[in-house]
Order: sequence, then structure tokens, then C-alpha cells
Amino acid sequence: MQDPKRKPRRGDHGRSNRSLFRRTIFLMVTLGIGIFLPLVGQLYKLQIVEHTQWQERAANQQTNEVNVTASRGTIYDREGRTMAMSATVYKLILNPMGVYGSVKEENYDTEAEYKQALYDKRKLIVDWLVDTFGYDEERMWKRIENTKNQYAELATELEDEDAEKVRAFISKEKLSNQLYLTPSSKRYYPFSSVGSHVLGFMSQNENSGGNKVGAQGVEAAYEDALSGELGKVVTSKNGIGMEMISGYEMYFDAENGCDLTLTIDERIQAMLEQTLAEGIERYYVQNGAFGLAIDPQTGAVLAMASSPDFDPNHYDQIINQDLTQELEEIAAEKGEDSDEYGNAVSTARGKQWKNRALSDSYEPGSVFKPITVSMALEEGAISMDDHFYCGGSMSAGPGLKPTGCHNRNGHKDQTLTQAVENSCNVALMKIAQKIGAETMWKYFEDFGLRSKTGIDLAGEGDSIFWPGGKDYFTGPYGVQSVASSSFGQTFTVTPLQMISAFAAVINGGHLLQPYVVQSVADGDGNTVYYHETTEVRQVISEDTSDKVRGILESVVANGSGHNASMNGYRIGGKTGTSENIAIKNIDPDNDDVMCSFMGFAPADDPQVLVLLVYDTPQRSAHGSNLTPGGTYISGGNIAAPMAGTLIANILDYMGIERQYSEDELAGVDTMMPKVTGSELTVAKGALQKAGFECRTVGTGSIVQGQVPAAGVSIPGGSTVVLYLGEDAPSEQVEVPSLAGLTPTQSKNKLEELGLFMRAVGVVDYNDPDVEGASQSIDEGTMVAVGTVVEVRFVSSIAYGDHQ
Amino acid sequence: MARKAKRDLTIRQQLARGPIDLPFLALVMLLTAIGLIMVLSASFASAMYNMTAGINTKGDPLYYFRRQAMFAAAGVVAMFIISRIDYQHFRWMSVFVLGASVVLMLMVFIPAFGRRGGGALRWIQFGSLRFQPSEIAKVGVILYFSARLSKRNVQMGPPKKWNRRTLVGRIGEKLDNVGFLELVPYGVALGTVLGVIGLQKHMSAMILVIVAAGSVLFAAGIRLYWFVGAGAGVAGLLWFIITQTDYMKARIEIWQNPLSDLQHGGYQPWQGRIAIGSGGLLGVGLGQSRQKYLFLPEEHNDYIFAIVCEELGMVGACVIIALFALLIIRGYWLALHAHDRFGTLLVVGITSLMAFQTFFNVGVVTGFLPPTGISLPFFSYGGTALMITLAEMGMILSVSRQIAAPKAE
Repeated sequence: MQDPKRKPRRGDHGRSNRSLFRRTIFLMVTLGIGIFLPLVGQLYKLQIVEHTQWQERAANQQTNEVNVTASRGTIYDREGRTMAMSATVYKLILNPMGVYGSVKEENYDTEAEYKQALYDKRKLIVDWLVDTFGYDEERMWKRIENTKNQYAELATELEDEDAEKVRAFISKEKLSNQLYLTPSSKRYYPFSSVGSHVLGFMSQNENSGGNKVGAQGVEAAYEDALSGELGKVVTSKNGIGMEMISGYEMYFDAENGCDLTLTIDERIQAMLEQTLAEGIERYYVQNGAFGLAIDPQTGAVLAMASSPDFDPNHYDQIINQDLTQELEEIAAEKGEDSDEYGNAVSTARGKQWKNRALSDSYEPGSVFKPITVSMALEEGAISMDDHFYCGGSMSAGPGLKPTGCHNRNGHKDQTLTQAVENSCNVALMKIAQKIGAETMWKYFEDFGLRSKTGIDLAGEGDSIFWPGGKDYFTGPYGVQSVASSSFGQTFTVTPLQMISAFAAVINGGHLLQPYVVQSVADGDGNTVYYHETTEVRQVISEDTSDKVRGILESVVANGSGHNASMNGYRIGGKTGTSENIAIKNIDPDNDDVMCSFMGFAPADDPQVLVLLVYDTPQRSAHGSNLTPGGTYISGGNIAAPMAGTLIANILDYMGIERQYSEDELAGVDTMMPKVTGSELTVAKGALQKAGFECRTVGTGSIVQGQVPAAGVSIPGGSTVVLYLGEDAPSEQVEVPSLAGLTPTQSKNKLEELGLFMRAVGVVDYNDPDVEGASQSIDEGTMVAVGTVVEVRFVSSIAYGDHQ
Repeated sequence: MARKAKRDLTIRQQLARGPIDLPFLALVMLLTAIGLIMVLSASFASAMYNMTAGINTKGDPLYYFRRQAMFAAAGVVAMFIISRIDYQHFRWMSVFVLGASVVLMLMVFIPAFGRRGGGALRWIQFGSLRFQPSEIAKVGVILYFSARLSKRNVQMGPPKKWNRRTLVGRIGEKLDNVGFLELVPYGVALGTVLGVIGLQKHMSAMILVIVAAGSVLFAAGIRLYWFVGAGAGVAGLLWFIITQTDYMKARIEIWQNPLSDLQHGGYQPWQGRIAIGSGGLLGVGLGQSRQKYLFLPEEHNDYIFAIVCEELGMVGACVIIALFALLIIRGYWLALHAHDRFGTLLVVGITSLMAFQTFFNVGVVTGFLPPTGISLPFFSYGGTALMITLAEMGMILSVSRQIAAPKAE
């Protein structure tokens, strides 16, 4: 290095050249090699270490992914009726930024001209939208002037017809990038609210990313199978979003969703819902109702309903009349903007969406008794010949308050069958004592009451037993609970658990897993899943099951379930009137009761098992046991008649032949012979042969007219009218009210008018307590002479089975 | 020109007819060819889409390539012509080149000649010829400094006698002793040029002029503490600018994290990194870049190296960096063997300029340095810039002719 102090001189040539040499070498090394090393390092970092993440970012921006929607599977009922289906609809999208960009400032000479052009363009679109779809004009202006936005969803479910209008407008005004349609799909439920709880509905949730997914029911439980797999088309695009002509494209086919075939039968479902609705109206039921119908031989759910319900097509609307009325009252009082109203609406929605047959548990009450009896018989704790004495009440153990039977005077001496017919609590407590707590607990588990049934629906509830569990139940403090549980109180089970256990009692002892989806077929129609009957375990023997069936048939024939009897059908079943002990412990004044009936038919080979539960019919006055309509509040008087009709309807629908006893045979429909033109005596002979009575009108010996006409079927034993010397009248008559009349009174009243009666239900012409409950043709209707009016009779005897 | 017989030539003339350095020429030709191919590949999409404001390609995908190829051909011709000029003539030309560049740079502000490019007024147009006069200023500074510094030892008269009796004299002697006075002419020249470039707000050109001039001064033997001092001063200034002005703070922030502000400058570095990163080890293949389809702005200008990385991968990018490194090393090798100090300093200046320009461009594109607009020699689109680069190469080749052939053993 040069000495800085020394001034350069000629003699320094060598030094200075050496310095030049050294410094150039230095530059050569630093600028020729040194500076490039960090650059190579940087390349290594970007291209090797972080390569994957940069590649991903590149792919994200360089490609366009267009989803190809998979069409959601169809849901069929067991007969192939379409319960839910999807159809293509369109989203209508407005691109305010695109509208703004379509009017270019440079094409206009002055600012004012440009502004006017932009205004005209916007006005064109807004006016058309307002005219065509009736959108709010002010709001539309606000949306179109928000030029930062590229995606304003104007409509989500535009149907074909409207979409066509939009397309025409777009192509006419060349708005392809400013207003456009994207296909989406909409779910239709052709039967509206029928089966709504089982089907569920489609809605968005926080994880669905703006898409609607199944909520509730089968739609939720089978979401994966139904939805299928989204397909994709990947195309390459350039930096301004244009698709590239030579861009590589990849296709991933969409896989359509699977179709489901349910075990639900839409007709039976509709019958069940109808039965719930009629019962609610007829008996002033306050807290709704729920019901189930299953095939006890397979566990297939034929119908499952809960009232109030909803229409899955418009799942957030309140369709229940009572709820609507409540909301209207709140709206009138507080206004529709109030918090109270908003909360009331969401509470009402929740009520409509709730499938109580699946998710709620309740105290089954006396409906549980056959289960207690079956475990006692199975264990040999009792026999069919045992007698049970009821003195009106009984204490479960020393020092415990006596538990009363609903018959305070006591049922006195009864056989086992009679005890069940009477729904005697004392007898059941005695049976429970014989079984023992330990064994009862085992049977609770064996009957599947301690675990969920595993049905293929989302949102299944579970039973609630005593907090202490088995130790409590079998211990010294459980004595009262053992006694109460024998008649179905102090614990809760879900309706589904109850009906599954009951099915095991009557089907030969097989506890079966209930299910709603019979088969699943993929998009090409191949069956990919078929439900085989799943037996969880054999709980009781065939023999025991047979005995209990006999007892239950007797309950309907002679006992508290008599109102469920229908001529021509062998129906077995058990009533229940249960309280909510948990609520009652808190609020002693609470007198809510669940009136229920579990029935099956035919009794010798059950094809259908039905559970109906009506939650709390209104009392005519506080402390009264009657509804405002005068019906005694109990399962036997409220649920049993509804269930009888329902079971008869289901059996008719299923095509199961009626079986008549000899008595009943007389009342079976018979065809009216042709007697017009005959001698009166000949006519009378023919009628007697056919099993009809007759009365004559007018005088003469030749029959000139007859009511009913030849070939018409009317119930046997009816009194037909023969007209002598005059023609049969052709004018219409008015149907009278038969409510509260006995069968004899009703028959006479109708026949006086030239009408005929077909009696169904409890038809006992000698029992003064039997009265008409409903008639097939409403009073006041004008009908032709000779018309048959079907009258449903029930017994008005108070069938108590409370505690 | 009529070729005289060798015997009629002076020694100097004979020297000037020596062979040019073939390795250096080969590297230049190779880089020019690869650069042309990359311009074709990178500019293809934007030429086709014709989306660049101010340039109408009429949708011809070869538009940029054709122009670049024409200039490259002209540039190669110019390089050979210049290489045949005895570089000793550059000594006297240097003053005029420097002066002319300053005048041209000032002419930018005359509306008849000045043209805007990328928002800044830095271009000048004569007929169809359009170029940045600051490119010439860089060569001018190198030529002038080399010419003047080469005489530093040989043509300096006896040391100036200072009159120690006057204050001026004493201060003068002191300044002379620390080597300040000899720097004054360079400082004045450099200051003038930088001032004029500063008028154009052309930061990157200023940096290149400074480093080119600095490397010539460094090689010429200017005392190291001046560099240390200047370096410290520049570092302090940079520190001040970076930390105390919002503008630079924002640019540093964008450099560190381009996503922080894609609207104001973050977009290009971000897209550049996507291009480089997605290339991987072997690249997506020549011509297969996806980022050039309107994603990456300036993909055939300042950011062409990102397309190189994307298409040719790390392997291709390293090969090209290696070619630059070889060119630079060969340049210094030629400097070391140059016939005289002027040749050495001239080659050092041009080679250093080339090295810094490459380093800054690749550094910016890969995100190693904060963003600034410096083009990549031989690669970036720009006809006159390529011609000037090739002309500079011609000067180096001219120096290479006068290197004495190694004596035969």
C-alpha cells in the first residue's frame, strides 16, 4: 500500500502499478464472484426451499377453478314416491365494478357527458331489475353505485322462467360481465310438511361455506351420501382473468349424490300426522303431540311425526296455527321490530323444527306396564294364573308414603290379565317387588332403554334414569323408584326407545334397531347399501311374548284400551296417562299429562305398531279431569280412539284382510238386492236372506221403489225402505248431528231420514256409555237418500290409568 | 478505410491491429444471443395482448423481439467498429462524450426532445432513435476518469510548491498532502453529472454512476480512507433516508413483505417472486412461463430475470449468472493485462459497471435488494441500452487488441 504521506513521484511507478494490480484483483474477486454468491443463495431459498409454497401461489392465480355441481340425491319413500328432489335454479349476480368499468371515460369529451353515460347505463339495469323482479329501487341504486364490489347477489333461487328473461336482457344490452347467472340447486319437497322431521331441510351453517347442507333428519344424517362429490374444471388464465386459448384444462367429473329409499311410507306418514292434528283439535291438546308407526318385525320406521311441524320448502316460516296466533298477539302488543317478537319467532321456529319423537324423552307411564309384565313372566316371577289384590293404594316399603292406584276404591281381586286391563298400579308394584330391582335394571338395559337406539337420523335423544344409577336403584333408597318404575314413572325414555322396547315385547322378544333408510343407490342406480334387519338381542322368549300379546289384545277388547277396538281388526295395545314428575316436584300445581296409546295389529301377527302421545289436553276447569268437550282426560279416552282409527286405516292401506267375529259379521257391508218390481212378500224374503230389515212406505203389494238402489253396499242389519205405490224420493236430505248418541239412537235417527249407518269403533248396541265421537259426513251436509254415514263410536267410561 | 501494409504502420498502429480477446467476445456473443431468446420468450405474451400503454404492438407477438434483434445486430456491428478504433483516441474523446451526455441530459427537459417513460422524464428522442442520455453519461464518466487518472503518475509535474506563509498556502499544502486537491476535478465532474441526473430523479442511474466512477478511482490508487469516508457518508445518508422518510420506509416495508401493499409497488416484487419460486430447480421449460401472461409487469424489461428463473429453473439461472461472472472475471483479466494504465482503468470501469448493474438487477428481482429500476445487461428489452452495452464491450475489445501476445517459449 502506498504511503499516504508521500507524494507520488516518477520513481513510484512500480509501487503504483502494484497497487493498480492488487486493487484490480480485489475488484475481480469481489465483483466477479463475491457479489453473486448471495444472489445464488437467494435463488436457492426461493426456488428450492420455498418452491412448493410459491408453486401453490402460482397455481392459485394462474388457474381458474370452476366447480361442477353434483346433483343431490333424491329421497323416495318406501313405495317410490319422491319425498325430496333437487332442481337447477340460478343465482343472479350484479357486478357493480364491471358496470362502472364498462363506461370508459376516455370515450367522452367532457366530464359531464361521461357522468351522464354512466348514469344512463346504471339506470338501464336498475330500471329493468325493478320492473322485472320488483326489487326496491333505492336499494338497487345503492348496490350498483358501490363500485368496489364485483359480486352482489341479487337473487339466489331464480327459476328457469326468470333466468330466461335475465339471459335475454343480458344478450340484448351486452351486459355479460356486469350481470350474470350462475347455476345452483334448490331442494323441493313435493309433499310439503309431510314427513318434515324425518326428511329435514337444507340450510347454510357456519361450516358450509355459503352452500346449503342438510340440517336435521335424513338430509343431515346422509349428507355425505346425498351430496355427492363436486366436480371441477381447471383452466389456465392470464393476469387479467381471461381464459387462455391454449390453456391446459383438467376435468374432474362430478359424482352425483346417492338416492335414498326410506322405510317411511308417505301415506302412513300423512295418516299419522292427520291423526295427531285431529286429536289435538278434538281434545284441546295444548303442548302438541308426537307419534310413531313402525314395522315391529323389522324395526323399519313407517312414520314418525311431531306436532307442530314445518314445511321444509320454507323451513323458517311459521306454519302452525297456534304459534302463528301467538306471534300475531306479540306483534300486536310489542310490534314486529321488538326483541320480544324476534325471540318469539326463533322460539316458534325451534318448536316447529323439534322432532319430539326422536330427540325428547318423556315418562312413558302405563304404556310401560307390558314391559314390566313381560320381564316378570320371562323370569318366572309371576304366572298367568296369579291373582293380584288391589285395595286402592300400597306402600312400596316400610315407612314410605302409600302410592295410590287411580281407582281409589281399589280394583280388588284381579287376574294378571285383568290387572293389565285395569292398568292397576298396585298390581304392578307387587310384580316389581317379585322381580327385584337387580333384575329390573338388567331388563332396562336389555330392552335398550339405557342406550340410544342408533337410528340413522341426526339428533337422537337419550333416556334419563335416576342420577344414582344402578347402585341407587338396587339399594335401600331405590325402593320407591323400583315401585314407580313398574308403571313407567320417575324415569324418561325417548319415544323411539319406548316403541323399540315395546316391539320386542310383541314380536317374539327381538330387540331390533330402528331405521329409516332402507336402501341407498348411487348416481347410476346401483344399490350400494341395503338395510338388513339388525337384531340387537333377544330380550324375552317367544312364549312370553305370545302371552303378553294375548293380555294386550284383551286390554283393547275388554279393558282400558277398549276405545281402540275396531270391528274387523284384532288390535292389541296399552294406554298411558303419565305425569311429568320432575316438573311436578318443582311445581305441585302443574297438572300436565301425556295421554298416550301404544297399539298394534293384527294381534296374532303384528304388522304395525303405533305410538301416539298427546301432550296435555286442556282441562275444562282447574282440577277437572274433563276437557272442555267433556272427554275424560286419559290415554284410554283420548289416545286410544285416535290410535284405533289410525291402525285400522293403516291396515286397510296395507291390504291386510279384516277378521270379523261372529257378532261383527252381521254388521258387515252387504250388497242390496234388486227388489223393485217384485211382490212385497218376495222382496221381504230376499231382504231377510241378505240380512236387512225393511220398512214400507205407502200401500200396495208391488215394490215400486227402494232405498238404497240395487247394487249399493250398506251395513248388514240396516233397515231398508221399500216404496209401495209411489216412487222412491229423489230429493236430498240433511245429515243430522250424531254426537253423544248411542249406536241405536244414531241408527234410528239416520234411518228415519232414509240414510244408513256404518258403525265403527266401540259398537255395543246395549251399552249406554257408548256414544258417537265423529261421523264421516259432517252434520248439515245435504246428501242423497240412501247414503251411508260412517260413525265412530267410543266409550265414554273414564278409563283411568293415572297414579 | 484503405488498409495499409503492416510495415507502413507505426508501432501504436500495429498494436491496435492485434487480435481481439476471443473468450471475452464469445461470452458477449453468448449472452447477447441468450438475452435475445429470453426477450422473445418473455415479451411474447404482452406483445400479443398489446396491453402496454404507449406502445402499439398491433398484436404482433414478435414485436419486441424483432426490434431487439435489430438493435442487437446493429450493436454487434458497432461493437466491432469500436473494437477497431485504437483506444488511445478515447482519451481525447472522453471530455466530449462526458460533455455531450450532460448536454443531452439537459435536453430531456426541452419538450421537443424529452420523452416520458414509465412516468419519468428521462428519455430523449431524435427521429426514431430514442434513448436515455444517462446511459452515455455512465460511459462518459468512466472514460473521463480513466483518461485523467491514467496520467496521475506519469504526466504530473514536480510537486507544487505551497507558500507556507499564507494561510491559504498552508491549508493548500495540507489538503494536497492528504490527496484532497487531486480529487477536486473528479468531484466537480461527478457532481455535475449526478446533479443533472438528479434533476431527472433517476436514483438508479446515480447509483451506477457513483459505483462506476468509484471503482475507477479505487483501481487508480486513490487513498483508501477517501473510500472509507465516502462509504461512511453514503451509509449515513442511506440510514437517514431509510429511517427518516416515509417514502423509503414504505419501500423497505414493501421489499421485506410485498403483500403488505400490493396496490403501491408490492405487486411487482410479489409476482416476481412467484415466478422465480414456481420455477423450481429445473424450471417450467423455455417458453412455458405462465407469469408472463400479464401477471408480472415489466416481464421483458427489468424483471426479465424472473422469467428466466421461472422457465429455466435454478439451474438455468445459475448458468446465466455464471456467464456474467465469467464475463466480468475475463474483463478484469483483460484489465490486468492491458497495455497501459488508461486501458486498465477503462476496462475496470466498464467491467465494474457491468458487474454492479447485473448485481443490482438480479438482487432486486430476487428480493435480495430493495426495489429499484435497473435493467439487466444483454437481457432487458431496450434497443439503445443494448447498443450502448455492446459499444462498451467494443471498447474493452479494443483494449484487448493491444495486449502483448505471450512470448513464445
